[in-house]
Amino acid sequence: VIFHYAIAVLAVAAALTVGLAFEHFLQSSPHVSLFLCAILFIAWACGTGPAIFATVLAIASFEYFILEPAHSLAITEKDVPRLAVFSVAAFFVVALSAAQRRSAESLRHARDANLAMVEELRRVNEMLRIENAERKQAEEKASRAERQLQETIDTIPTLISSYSPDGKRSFVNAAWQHFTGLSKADVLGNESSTIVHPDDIEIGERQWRDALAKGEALQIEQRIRRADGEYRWHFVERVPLRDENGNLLKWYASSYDIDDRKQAETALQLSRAQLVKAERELRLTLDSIPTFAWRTRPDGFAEYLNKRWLDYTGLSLEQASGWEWQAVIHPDDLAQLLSDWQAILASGKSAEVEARMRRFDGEYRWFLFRPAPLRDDAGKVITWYGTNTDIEDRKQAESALQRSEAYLAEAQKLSRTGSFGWKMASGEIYWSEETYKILGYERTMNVSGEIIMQRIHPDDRAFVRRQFYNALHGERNLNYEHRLLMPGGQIKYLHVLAHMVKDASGADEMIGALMDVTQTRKAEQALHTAQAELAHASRVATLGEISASIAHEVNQPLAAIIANGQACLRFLDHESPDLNDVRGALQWIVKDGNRAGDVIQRIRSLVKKTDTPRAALDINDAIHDVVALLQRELTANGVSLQLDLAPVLPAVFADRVQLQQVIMNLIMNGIEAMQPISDRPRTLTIASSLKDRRQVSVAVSDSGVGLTADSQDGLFRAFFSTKPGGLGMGLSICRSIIEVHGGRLWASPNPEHGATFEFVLPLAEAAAEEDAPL
Amino acid sequence: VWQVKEEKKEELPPVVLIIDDDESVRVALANLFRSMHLNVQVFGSAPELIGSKLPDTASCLVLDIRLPGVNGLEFQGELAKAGIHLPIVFMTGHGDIPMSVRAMKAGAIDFLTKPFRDQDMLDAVTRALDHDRKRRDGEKVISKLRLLFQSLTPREREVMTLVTAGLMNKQIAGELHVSEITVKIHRGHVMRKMAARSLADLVRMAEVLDLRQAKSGAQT
Repeated sequence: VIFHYAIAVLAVAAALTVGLAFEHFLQSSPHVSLFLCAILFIAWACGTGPAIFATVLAIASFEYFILEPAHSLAITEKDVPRLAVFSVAAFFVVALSAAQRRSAESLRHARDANLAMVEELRRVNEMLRIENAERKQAEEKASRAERQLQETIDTIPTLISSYSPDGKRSFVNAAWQHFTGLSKADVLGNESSTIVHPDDIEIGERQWRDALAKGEALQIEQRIRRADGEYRWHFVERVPLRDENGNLLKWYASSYDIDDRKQAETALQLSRAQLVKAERELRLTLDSIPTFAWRTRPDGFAEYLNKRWLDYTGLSLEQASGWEWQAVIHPDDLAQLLSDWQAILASGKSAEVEARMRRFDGEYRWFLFRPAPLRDDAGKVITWYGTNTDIEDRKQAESALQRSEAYLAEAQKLSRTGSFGWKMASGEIYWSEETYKILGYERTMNVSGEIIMQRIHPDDRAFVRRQFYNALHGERNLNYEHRLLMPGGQIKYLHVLAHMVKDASGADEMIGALMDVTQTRKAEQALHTAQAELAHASRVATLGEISASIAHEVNQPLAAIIANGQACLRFLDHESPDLNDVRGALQWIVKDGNRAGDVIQRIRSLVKKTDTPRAALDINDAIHDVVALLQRELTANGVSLQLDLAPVLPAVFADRVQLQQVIMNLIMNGIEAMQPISDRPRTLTIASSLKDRRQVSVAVSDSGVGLTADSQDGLFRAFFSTKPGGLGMGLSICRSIIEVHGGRLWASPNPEHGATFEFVLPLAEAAAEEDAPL
Repeated sequence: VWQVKEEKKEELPPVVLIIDDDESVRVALANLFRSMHLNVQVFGSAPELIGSKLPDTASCLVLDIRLPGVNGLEFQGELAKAGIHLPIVFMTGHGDIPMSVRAMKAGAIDFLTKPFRDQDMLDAVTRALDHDRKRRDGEKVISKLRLLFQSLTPREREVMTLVTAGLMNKQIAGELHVSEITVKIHRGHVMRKMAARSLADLVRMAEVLDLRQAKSGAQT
């Protein structure tokens, strides 16, 4: 309260201070409103008492400080109304404030009372809520337990239902609904028999009525319809529930699906019947199938042999069972069969054995024995089943195949021909036995390109590689020869011939044969040697025939040399020798010496035994050489020679000596053919020319006796001769020489007189192309 | 003999004729003969020789018995037929002995086997040339006689023929239907023109001229 009064003092003081301040600074007279404001404030903030106090204080301080005379409490008359108004205003304000203050106070009280009531209500509410929650929890617990129970009941695969004491259905579990496909609504309150199989209803109803009447538990098997309409056997049990007093409350019923068991029982019965039937049928089948079938005990004792087996052998079951069947096995095969059979029994594995079996008529045929074990669950052999298959035809085909294979192998051996297959895609190579033998490998060797290459003569490897390459790049036929160099240094000649074929899968396969042609080659070489020797002999013989001419050819320069030499000596003996004469003579000596040397060289080359290597040569040169040797022979026989040689000819690839021999022979023949001729000129024409741009031709024409039909036929045969002393080898040798050179030699009669012998040879370039390695 | 000495006069040096188809041999022989101071004329073939003018002096022929186109023996005969009486020396090769013998029989001077010794060739050629010289001398007498004979008138030739045939003047006159005196005059002319010193001389001349045989042949 004192605090309130202090505030009143301070507020009046503040109003006075402000009023004085205004007076002082603004020269305006202080206003009463300031005091009124202060009083209003006090009345609102501090209450009526302080406000009255402040009013008094305000009037006093107003009087004292503001109203004239200042600083005195003396009141002038003119100020009384002012003071009175002020006082009235002040008291009004105080009264107003007091009234307002009172109403505000009562309002606050009312609000406080409200608040307290709300608080009370909230507390009550909270308590209610807690109570509510607890109750809810208890309810949930209860319902969960119930649900669990329900679920348990529903989960049980047994069909559960309950009935009221009067037999009306009151509950069915989920399994029940699921099984029957009926909802609770459908079945509750109904009789129990609605889903029972019509055949079972009557007995079910009767027993149920009895049970209801007696209140005793009931057990019954009946078929109940499933949702899909199928009736399944169920074991149904209904028990009564009673209270403490023994009053029947309700019936509980459970029902198990026993259909599977029921069916298994039925099936068992059925299968037993079927087994009997099947056994009968099996026996029938075994007896009627076109195969020989049998059964033995695990120790091999024959228990059963089918009818066919017995029919074939002509034995009865008694005669064949046990081990008696051995009687029909071919004596040669029996030991083997028995030992194999014992081995099979011991191993317990199925296998195949072949043996001959005697037919009822005594004929033996080949059979394939195929026993197979029948095992129990433990894997122990219970029994052996077996079949015999007639493989006589296959056996015969086999032996035919073996025979033909043997023939082939023998043929390959005899002909020294091996065969091979080469799968292009996989590189797989197959060899026949003879191929191994020819190449000198063991059969166990793995065939590969490398081991083939090892055997190929180093000089031929590149060539053979090229052949392989060609084969890999589309060449469909191979035909070539090459050499083998065997480990011992032996050389073999091989002729390889192969064709590309499609195998069963459509892939490319090179199938071929390789032939050891070593002996052929050697024979050819021997033949070649013999021919060369014969040719040589013939050459020497021809040279013998013309020996006089040859002697002359040598003699001429020799005589000239001697004469010139003697002339030189004489020139030098002259008193004043003319050295020009001497020089001239000496030059001729040198020239003739060379000439004699040339002649001897020619003769030597013709007499030489060995072959000269083939080389590119101008055939005109060869002709000139021969003509030089035979000049004398021609003149001695009065033959005039005409040379009609092509000025330029491409070279031929030939053995010079052999070629000269041919030309010499043809000229000599021409000379001889003209010997009997005296009524016309003896003219021999030698012409050379290029034919078809591919061959060089040489033609020797005479004007002699010509060819008769007889002589034309046998002309080139060995030992054919029209001459009394002729050996008859000349033309035959000529022809073989020309043919070895890849050319041809023939004779034809001339239009008027005589004959023409002509030969052609391939050009050197063409021959070089063909000059592949072996 | 009597005339040769009488008619002796300077002659050209002798010539050796060579036929060979082989130039080497031709040249060699030519060299050899030149070294022997002999003149040489060479021919490649027989026809070539026949076709050319032969030297009018002692000469001989050296040739190979085998020649191109024709053999030596045949050629020998041809020459004889053509009245060419050259002495021949044959050269032969090996194995031509029978041919050589035939050549010798046909009058060849010699045959030499190639190759030959120069002295042998020289000897053979010398002999051949001597032979030819003699032959030529003989031929000279004959040709001189022929010249003389040709200077006779036809009547004188007839008289000479008959005289040398041994007929008497009277017989000749009868034969020719002239007087004996005329015969004597012709005979005197003949003796003088023929330079016959005696009837025997004239008879020999007639023999050389072979008057009986070749009345017409002598004309040529």
